[in-house]
Amino acid sequence: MFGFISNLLKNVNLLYFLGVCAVSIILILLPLSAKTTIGALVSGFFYYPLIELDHFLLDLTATKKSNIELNRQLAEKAMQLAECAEMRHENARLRRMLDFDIHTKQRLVPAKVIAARSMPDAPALIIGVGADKGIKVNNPVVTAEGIVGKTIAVSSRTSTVQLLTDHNCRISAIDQSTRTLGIIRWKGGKLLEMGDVPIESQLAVGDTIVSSGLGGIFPAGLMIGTVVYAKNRSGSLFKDVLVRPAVKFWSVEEVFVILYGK
Amino acid sequence: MANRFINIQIVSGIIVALAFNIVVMPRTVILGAVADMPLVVTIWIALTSTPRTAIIFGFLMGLLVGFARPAELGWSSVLLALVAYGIAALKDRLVMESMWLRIAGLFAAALIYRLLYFALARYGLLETNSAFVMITTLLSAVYTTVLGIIVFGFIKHRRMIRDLFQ
Repeated sequence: MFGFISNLLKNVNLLYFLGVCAVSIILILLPLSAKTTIGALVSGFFYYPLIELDHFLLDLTATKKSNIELNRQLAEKAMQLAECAEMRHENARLRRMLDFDIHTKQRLVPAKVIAARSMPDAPALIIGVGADKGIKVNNPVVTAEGIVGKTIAVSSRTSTVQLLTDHNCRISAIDQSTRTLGIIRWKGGKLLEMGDVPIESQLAVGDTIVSSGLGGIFPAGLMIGTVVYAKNRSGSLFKDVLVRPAVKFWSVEEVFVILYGK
Repeated sequence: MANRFINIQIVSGIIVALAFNIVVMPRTVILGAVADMPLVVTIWIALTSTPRTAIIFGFLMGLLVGFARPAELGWSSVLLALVAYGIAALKDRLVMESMWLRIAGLFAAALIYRLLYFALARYGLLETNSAFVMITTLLSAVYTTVLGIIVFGFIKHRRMIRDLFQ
């Protein structure tokens, strides 16, 4: 017995282990409430930064998930917003056209622009109404803003519209304030030229030019544009007059075709 | 100088094991199996230092693990100290220089540790209701061994790895 204890005392590592076991047994024998209190106190000190890191990582994961969801919702709302903006514009256009329809005396056929021909000298629009709606060649085509052009070819369901910005298009026009007559034609660029305006005319910049009704195609009083340049040319009997068209030809989406007789 | 190195090793081992236990372990559960980083670090210390250091380290590590799970306070420290002592004592007799022997030792230790843990739970000594599932125990031992291979490999080749990033 004495020999065993003597050998045991010589094995320092075993003594260490037994010491550790003794401390552990004391800890094991503690009541659970005491263990919990000690655990909470020591964990609060040792584990605090790690628990914070753990919470941070959890938050990061949750934030990432919520970010993905919010981005998806944002994209969805952006699409809805774009759709709403488009509908708002369409609504405004249609309201203007409706107002124009009510106040005009001609019979109007509404039409959607379905294609555009962008040849530089002869631009044209294709509209989605044709002979089946009573459209014929040389029917005036207008919007609420003013004259767009006239039909030059008609099929059963579509029609080709020659724009004012076509070299071959001519309209008899009149200055609303001075009642000066002239011929509107396009000579390139963004403006129209009003020819055959005598130098004696009092036509001035800012005057409104409308169709005169002469020529037999366009009814009188349809808006063409506003004078932006009017000067006498030296040695000529006529003025140089440039008109800014009221219609933005490149952004027309809906038009009316004027049919003769209500 | 050697003592100072061992102290640094012990402190960094404790920090890494605790960080892994709190932050990584709950997120890396595979089929119910969990890797036991405190056990891996304890075995590494047991393999590289004296039995006395291993016992103290195992005890301290067990104590810290126990503080996080108060029901196991005391048991975890005695189990880890026992594993550390066993490995440290066997190391010199079996000459565990080969990496494969060390890994085998790690697997055996992980398995024995898990089995002891569940034996204690089964006899109601842990004051916790841990259901014993053999397959999960085996998987946990394998998972711990894989983690040990990574950690041991990293420690063995740390200079080479450090040079790669310089």
